[in-house]
Amino acid sequence: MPREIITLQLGQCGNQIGMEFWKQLCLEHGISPEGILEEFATEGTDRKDVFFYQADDEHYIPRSVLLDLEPRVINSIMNSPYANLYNPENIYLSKHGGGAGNNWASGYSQAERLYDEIFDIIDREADGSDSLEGFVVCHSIAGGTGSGMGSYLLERLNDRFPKKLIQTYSVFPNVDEISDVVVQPYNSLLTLKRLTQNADCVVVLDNTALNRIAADRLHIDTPTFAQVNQLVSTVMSTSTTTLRYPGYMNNDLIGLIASLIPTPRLHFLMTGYTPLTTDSQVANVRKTTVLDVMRRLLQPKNMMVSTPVHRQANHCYISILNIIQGEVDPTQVHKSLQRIRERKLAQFIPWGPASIQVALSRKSPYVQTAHRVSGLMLANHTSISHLFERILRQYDKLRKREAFMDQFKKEAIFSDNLDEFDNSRETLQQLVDEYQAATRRDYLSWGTQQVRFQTCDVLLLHGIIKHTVIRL
Amino acid sequence: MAVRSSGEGNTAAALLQKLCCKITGLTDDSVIPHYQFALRILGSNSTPVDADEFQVVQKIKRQLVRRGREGDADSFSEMHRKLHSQGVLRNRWAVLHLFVTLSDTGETSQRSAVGEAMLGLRLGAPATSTPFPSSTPYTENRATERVTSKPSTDSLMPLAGASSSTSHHSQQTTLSSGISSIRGDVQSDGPTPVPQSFMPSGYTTPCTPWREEQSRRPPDTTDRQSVFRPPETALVLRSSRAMTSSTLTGRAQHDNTASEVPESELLKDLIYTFQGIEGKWIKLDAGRDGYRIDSQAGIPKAVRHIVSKLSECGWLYNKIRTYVQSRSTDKAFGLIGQSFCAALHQELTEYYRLIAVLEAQLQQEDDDQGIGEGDRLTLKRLVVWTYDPLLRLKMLAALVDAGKGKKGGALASTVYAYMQHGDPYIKALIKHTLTLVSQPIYSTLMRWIYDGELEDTYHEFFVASDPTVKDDRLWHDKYSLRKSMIPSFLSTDQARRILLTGKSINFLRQVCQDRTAIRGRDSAMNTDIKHGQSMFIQDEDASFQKMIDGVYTDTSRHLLDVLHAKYKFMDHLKAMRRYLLLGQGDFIRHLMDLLEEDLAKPAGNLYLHNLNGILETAIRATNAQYDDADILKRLDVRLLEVSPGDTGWDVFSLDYHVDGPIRTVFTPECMIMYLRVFNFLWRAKRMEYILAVIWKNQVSNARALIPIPELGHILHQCQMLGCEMQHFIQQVQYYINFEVLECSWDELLHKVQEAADLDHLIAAHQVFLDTVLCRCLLDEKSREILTQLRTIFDLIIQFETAQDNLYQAANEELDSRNHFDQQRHKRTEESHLARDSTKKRCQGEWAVTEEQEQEEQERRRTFLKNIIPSTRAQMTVLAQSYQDMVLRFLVMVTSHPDVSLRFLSFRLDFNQHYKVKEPTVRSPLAGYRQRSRAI
Repeated sequence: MPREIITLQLGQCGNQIGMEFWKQLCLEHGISPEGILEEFATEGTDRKDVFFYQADDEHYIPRSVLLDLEPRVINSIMNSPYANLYNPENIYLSKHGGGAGNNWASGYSQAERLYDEIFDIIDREADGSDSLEGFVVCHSIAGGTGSGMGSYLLERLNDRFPKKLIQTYSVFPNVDEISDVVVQPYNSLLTLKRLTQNADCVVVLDNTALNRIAADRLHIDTPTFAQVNQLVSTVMSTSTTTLRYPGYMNNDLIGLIASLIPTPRLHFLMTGYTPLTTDSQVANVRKTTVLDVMRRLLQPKNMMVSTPVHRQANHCYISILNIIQGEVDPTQVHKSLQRIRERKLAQFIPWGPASIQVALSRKSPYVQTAHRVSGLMLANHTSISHLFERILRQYDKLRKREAFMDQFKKEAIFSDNLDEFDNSRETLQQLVDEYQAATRRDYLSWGTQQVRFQTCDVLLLHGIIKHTVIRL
Repeated sequence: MAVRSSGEGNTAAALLQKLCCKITGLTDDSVIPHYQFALRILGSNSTPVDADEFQVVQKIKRQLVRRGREGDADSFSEMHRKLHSQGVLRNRWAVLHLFVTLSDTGETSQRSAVGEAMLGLRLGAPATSTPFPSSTPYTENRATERVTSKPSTDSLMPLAGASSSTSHHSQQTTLSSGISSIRGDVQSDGPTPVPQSFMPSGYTTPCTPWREEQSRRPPDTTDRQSVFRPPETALVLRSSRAMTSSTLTGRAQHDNTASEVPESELLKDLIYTFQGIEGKWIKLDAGRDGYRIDSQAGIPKAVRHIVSKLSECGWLYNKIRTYVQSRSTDKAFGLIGQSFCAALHQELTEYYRLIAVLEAQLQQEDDDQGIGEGDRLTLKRLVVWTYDPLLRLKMLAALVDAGKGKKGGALASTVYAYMQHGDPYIKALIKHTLTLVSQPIYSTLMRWIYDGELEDTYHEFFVASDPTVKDDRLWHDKYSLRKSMIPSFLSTDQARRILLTGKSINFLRQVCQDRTAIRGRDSAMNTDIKHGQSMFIQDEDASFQKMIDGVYTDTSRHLLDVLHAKYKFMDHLKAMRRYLLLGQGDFIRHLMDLLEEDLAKPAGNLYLHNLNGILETAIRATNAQYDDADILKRLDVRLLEVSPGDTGWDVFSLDYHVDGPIRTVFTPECMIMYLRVFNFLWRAKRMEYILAVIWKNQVSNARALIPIPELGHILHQCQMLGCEMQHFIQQVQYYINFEVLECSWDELLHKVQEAADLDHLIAAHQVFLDTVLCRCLLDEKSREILTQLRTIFDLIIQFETAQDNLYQAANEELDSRNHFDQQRHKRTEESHLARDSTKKRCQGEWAVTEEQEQEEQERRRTFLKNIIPSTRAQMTVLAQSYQDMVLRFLVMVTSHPDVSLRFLSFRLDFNQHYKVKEPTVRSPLAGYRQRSRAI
């Protein structure tokens, strides 16, 4: 089966949302927790092979690799009904089981040490597919394992599979609550550098927004991980539906993301989903149209990324893809687009053509939902840079005080100097700059200034190297 | 008068009874039959005659003139004038009529076969003007009749006064003189069969010719008619109307060789004429196409008129008979024609029966002279009796005329046209005829709609079949409507439904191999053929419509069911959508991956078996493998016509084999359309994939080329152009997906669901294909736009090559830089090692020499100097021409007549990026206006 996708679940958060994701996929494809196709699902025209493969006994096994440095989450998976779903050889638990202690550097170093073992699994899995399309990485950027190990894996995956796509579902920390992980800004910054440089597409899952949605829209006062992860798994499964239910378009990951990402670095996507469960009253009143879905998706309250609502006109959409599931009238699509343009509901980039892409996708017949129509928006919006700016600000605050640096300095990567921090900060700053540049008409010639800067940089570096050599 | 005074009762009835007693001399009781008879006479006497005083006066005058009593006639008219002016007598007509009748009675009684002894008595009787006691009871009834009538008239006499007595007198005299004059006629014109033998003088003489006549001809039983004879003579002389002219005629009698033709003669002649045979007097005038009475015959004009009217029957009969005879033998006239003839024949038989009756009547009267005059056949009676038959004949003749040269359904239409006749009698006749005529239509129709069999040897049914058509075109070409043969009582829609019903059955039987009988067939076939009527009385009776609708619905439903269930129409349709219209995305994706290499070759180097192998692989590897084996078996590779310079991309197409019944929907023409659409979609898809590759290269190279930051802005330039192209192709694809495929597909599914018959299905499918073809810019109108689109596609391919070259060069440079750096690194290491090992600082043991360093720097500079400006220029040119092309494309699209293409321009310029650059793109209308100005 061509165009397979291998999922890598890293750390506590990554494994949790990964587990929810597989649960959801199993439901949608009619696969039992043991991986056996249910009686009612044998006639389906859905494409299971993208995410699953079939063992000799025909039962379905996720193309998934579960990695963690501490056993807690993986053990809970192994005690769940879905324990037998995964290939046990694909589950890797660090032997000492001490975790990364929420330290990016620790995760990174441990991953480095475990390189061979981890890549044995990944290589085997990649060999098992006919023509691998790419990897999907689930992790959080704030903790230790997901961020550190994730960063390391991203770099290596790039080296090892330069032609394969890497998409990540990255959970950004909740800024509304005081985190017990004080070094979050460090971890985030360091991970973001890799996400910028080594990933092809990052779907930003902002815990701040997810918790806010759970509280405000779903009326859950203190949302549990499971509830939040339910949201995440919905987003993940919906964003892959066009791959799993093949149609005329968007049948592969590259087709899906290529049109969303104009330049290699601007690949951080935000998501929006409707209806969120309590919207059911609204849905029952009248028939949900394409326009309803699209309009709701453009409302900030349905976005799963918390960006300050600036009325500054300069932030704009670079691209939008709406995946609409359920029974909708295809003839309505054009009308809806017209209305959205008439009402100027979406502000687009000034430097190139852009529009809302709409994909109508089938809905799994095996999952009964309260809503006949639902929609997911994947959007590339320049305002996502606010998230990075926030992280930069937090980092700068910590860095000024050189706070909590000791743990980092213990690890090899920081043993000599803290250049990696500066480097990452610079990369992230460039990213923010590029997003800002993308709001302006002159983005077309944006590269020119950058070149000048980078040329100097390189020349400078050259000089330094020379100097060192001479000194030596 | 005594009777009146001595009346116990004053009622007319009582008086009449007394009168009867008086006359007959019988007692009250025994007189009753006579009395009743008298009553009847009184009651009936005036009814059959026109109450026209003038006519009666004329009649009397004519009688007088005929008998040579011109003077009497004059005085009669004078007296009548006076009487008229005085106004004493109110019931003048009755009185006069009585006189006439009396004079007639005298004559007839004389002519009746009674003993001559009676003659004297009878002659005398009226002269005395007294009641005549008929002591001799010969044929008592008749005597009573005459006798009773006389006294009753007499009793009225005093009122009439002198004039009436005069007329009485003249009438009596007329009798004798008239008879004598007739006798003269008889003598001069031998064969006149009128029995004038009652004259005492010539009693024996006329007897012989009479007998002779009788032996020669059928007996003429006319009696009362004799009163018309003198005017007849007059009319023969063309001296019409006036009394004076008749007197003239009387004088000119000797010039006129013709004499009065007795009515019985005429009747006989007429009977002949009725049968289309020329009579003695009535001849067929070939020149004027009609029966004429011999102008020489002594027949009065009025009679002539009647006769010629009557002879119309003969003419009509002839016409119809000729038609029937000529057509019955004509095989090609067909069943409907034959049944029309049969209907006519049936009518004619009725008509023969009438003639037979008439003839028998004549014969009988001839044989039996004793028949009462009331029952005798007369011209007038004939007129009455033939009134209806004449109408019928007229109608039939009209039908014959109208139906000339027509046959089959057209003939039925002609007949039906007369159904609207207001006369219910005629309407009934036509309806009857039409029932017969439409019978073959109905039975053919029933056979057709229930069995699908067309028994129409003579091409008269309105469904035509072309036996040369093969099964695969059966639905389209085999059966058609013969417009001229559609009976006008069937609506076009009904005709269409009937055609469809039978066609469906044939289709089921021959193409689908389905032999299920149509529901209700047996009961329908067993029903009375009379139901044929229901066809043309649809105004009153909806049963025919109901029947047609029922069978049509059932058959069409059944056919569609068979197509759906047995031949899996929907599955095939969906398969077309999945494979030929690229709906099965994963399969198409994989197929293109596998074929990429092959299709880049020149079209001539492609081998079908290789491609088929690849197709097979693609099926096995994707979700297509779960498809029905039957569908997959039909999937095939087809290479379109190769023109020089074509690559595999230009000629490659998937094909889908259809056979059996579904081929009727998916005709070879349709399949060609599918293939064209496939080719278009396939190209668009290819662009999508090329752009995905371009994007992937951009992403990976952006990462890889970080060490050569000088290239950054070129890479960015490429990314910008790629992104624009990506947007364009994506939007074209979304347009195809929604506006072209989804929307028309939705419509198609809807229509297929609604389709009542196969024609609807075919039409829906055709509309679907046409829409898709048009919206894919594959129709004639859009040729230019399509060329423009192809140019844009070509630019994308150019861009891909250019970018690949850049990446290749850059990567080579990167490699050599890496190589240099590695070397330097190695040397440094070595020098370190050397230093460490020898513990001696070696002068000049730099990692790289200054020259090498210089060389490397120089190489790098040259590379950058070479690659940057040239690539940059190339990209700028590409970007510029690409944007121009897109702008022009947008302008063209906005001015395209098809609205859905405006959707495309709308999508392409959703954020109005191009609008700023090219004002003509602004709105579809602007482009339109500009174009119309140009025109």
